[in-house]
Amino acid sequence: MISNLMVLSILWISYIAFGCLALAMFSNFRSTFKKAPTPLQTRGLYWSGWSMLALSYYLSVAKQGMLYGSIFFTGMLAVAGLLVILTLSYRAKSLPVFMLFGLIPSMGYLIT
Amino acid sequence: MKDSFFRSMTWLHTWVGLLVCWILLVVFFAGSMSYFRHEISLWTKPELHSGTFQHYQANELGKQLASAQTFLHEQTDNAQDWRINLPTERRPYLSYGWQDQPEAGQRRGKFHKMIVKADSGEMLSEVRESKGGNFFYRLHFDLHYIPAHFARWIVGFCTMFMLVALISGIVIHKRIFKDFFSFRPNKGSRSWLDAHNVSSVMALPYHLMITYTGLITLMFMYMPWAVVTNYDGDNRAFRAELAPSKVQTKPSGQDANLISAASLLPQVTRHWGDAPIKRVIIAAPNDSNSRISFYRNSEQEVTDKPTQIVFSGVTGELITMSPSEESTTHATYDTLMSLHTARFAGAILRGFFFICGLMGCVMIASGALLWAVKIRQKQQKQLSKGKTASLGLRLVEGLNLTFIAGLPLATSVFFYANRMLPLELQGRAQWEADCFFITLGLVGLLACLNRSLSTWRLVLSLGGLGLISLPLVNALTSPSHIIDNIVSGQWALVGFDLLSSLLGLGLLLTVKKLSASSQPKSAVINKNTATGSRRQNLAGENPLTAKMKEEAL
Repeated sequence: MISNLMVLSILWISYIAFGCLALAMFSNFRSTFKKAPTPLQTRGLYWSGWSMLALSYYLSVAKQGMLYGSIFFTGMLAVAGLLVILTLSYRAKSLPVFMLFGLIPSMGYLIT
Repeated sequence: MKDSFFRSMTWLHTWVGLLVCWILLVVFFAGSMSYFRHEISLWTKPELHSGTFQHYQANELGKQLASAQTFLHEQTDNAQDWRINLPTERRPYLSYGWQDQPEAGQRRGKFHKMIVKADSGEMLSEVRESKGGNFFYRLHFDLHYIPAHFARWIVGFCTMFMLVALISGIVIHKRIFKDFFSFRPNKGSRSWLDAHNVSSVMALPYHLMITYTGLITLMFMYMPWAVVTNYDGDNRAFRAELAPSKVQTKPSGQDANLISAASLLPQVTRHWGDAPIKRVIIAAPNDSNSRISFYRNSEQEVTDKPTQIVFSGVTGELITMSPSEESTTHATYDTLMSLHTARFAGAILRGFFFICGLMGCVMIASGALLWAVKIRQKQQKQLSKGKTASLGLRLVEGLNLTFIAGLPLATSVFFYANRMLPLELQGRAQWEADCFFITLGLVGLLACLNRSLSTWRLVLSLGGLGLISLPLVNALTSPSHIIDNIVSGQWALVGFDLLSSLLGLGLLLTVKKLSASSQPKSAVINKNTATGSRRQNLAGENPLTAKMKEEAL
């Protein structure tokens, strides 16, 4: 059984991952930042999204075993995705704030 | 060719989905509730809320088993078996049970269950009769009021249709990745389509898994031919070979002294180490052919196979032990089963699954509503001329109102009935279930008379208020309220209260949106303040799926 803080960190990392992937799309980026993304930004966001996703899968599996971790990861993705969609629909401008807000404590917790 | 292929797929998706959506909604809803089956059962028995909770204590085990055996020996006469259920994480109390010999013409004898007080070891008498979480668990595949066998065929049929609808849905959804994060609120049928897409795509792995494994759970019923052929139709022989440890031994009829179950504990520990035990069953006590079985609490292993050790109740000799070597097929089946039932899941994963299940409900509900919205748009001309809507539209709108708005209300009524019906009422447990269905029926009756926005608002806000005040009801009708439970760390009860008020709050927010929105019914899932509407040009650009749907209708 992993700790609740651990779960929260992994969930937040998936949230950041989906947030990056969403912002890598033109329309979402524009509704959040009120300007068009440069190709470099798009590519950067796209790849950081995927790598964060990979990181959260790695963490789920490393902390909870292959089988349980994979199931956990799949279930959690749905929740993280839903949260990103809700943020985009109702608080689009706050998305990067929420992402950054989670990045520091999650990473800090995981490293220590 | 391509065009007609998509058209036929869209047609398939629409009509297959519509045909079974209301039963599926009930099944999905009940299934999601079943993730918290034991927690709900605990909540519905407030007598247990004080003085019975205890943790599993390995060093107390011998004492607990010995006193259980003494008690059962004194209380029962000629019982078929004795059961000792040890405290687990989700059922944190010790209980003794026994089963009487079946009466003539009955397959099973009557079950009795008694719960032990944690501090004194006395028995708790007078626990109210209630189906609790088992009501939703049974509703999930047995429905209600109709024979279980028949109901399971209906549910299986709907599940098969669900699988078809899911796959055809993936095929016709051309913009899965482009629209991955798009939900455009307050845009009429566009929003409904978005809500439908988002709730399906986000939890797609879950939906596919749950539908497929759902079929697997009853596969021996739906496809019995392999068993029929290989075992000459003898289902029992097949089951016996599948799980030899589940076979019930016939009592010999000769009396013999039962040994103490506690004396077998060292042997159990030798095989399992310190793994917790969740149940001890003593079959045919005081018979020369009696058996004592220990069941291990398999905790977070992803499998549904029961892990047990069986001893002779007279000599203490080890008879069988599982898991013996399992075939690959059997292991696959056990894993798929456990994926569906999620018995292995810890509290958090359970919560994630619950949210996925609710997303499934949203998917079904939004699909059904989308159909009604589109057809109403299509009939707008006739409607504006003063003609009445077609029978099909009225039927679908009525059923939508009954099931989508009625289910939360009926659920809250079920819990009120649990706390308010007089304790000595005959057939009390059944009355609770009856209250659930009477409420659905009343909403259905209302839907026959009036399906306007105000009716939706009324039913939804009743359901919302009902759910939101459940913690209050709990505080008034049980020995401990939510603060007590937080202090004593009873998270199952706290979770129930919090979750019900959260869901109630969600419903009330929905009602608020419904009032604010000019579009009838188009705002049930919209919880928006119209900030993210900059993507509308994108919507106007290529609403392919929407067009396809329109054409199909």
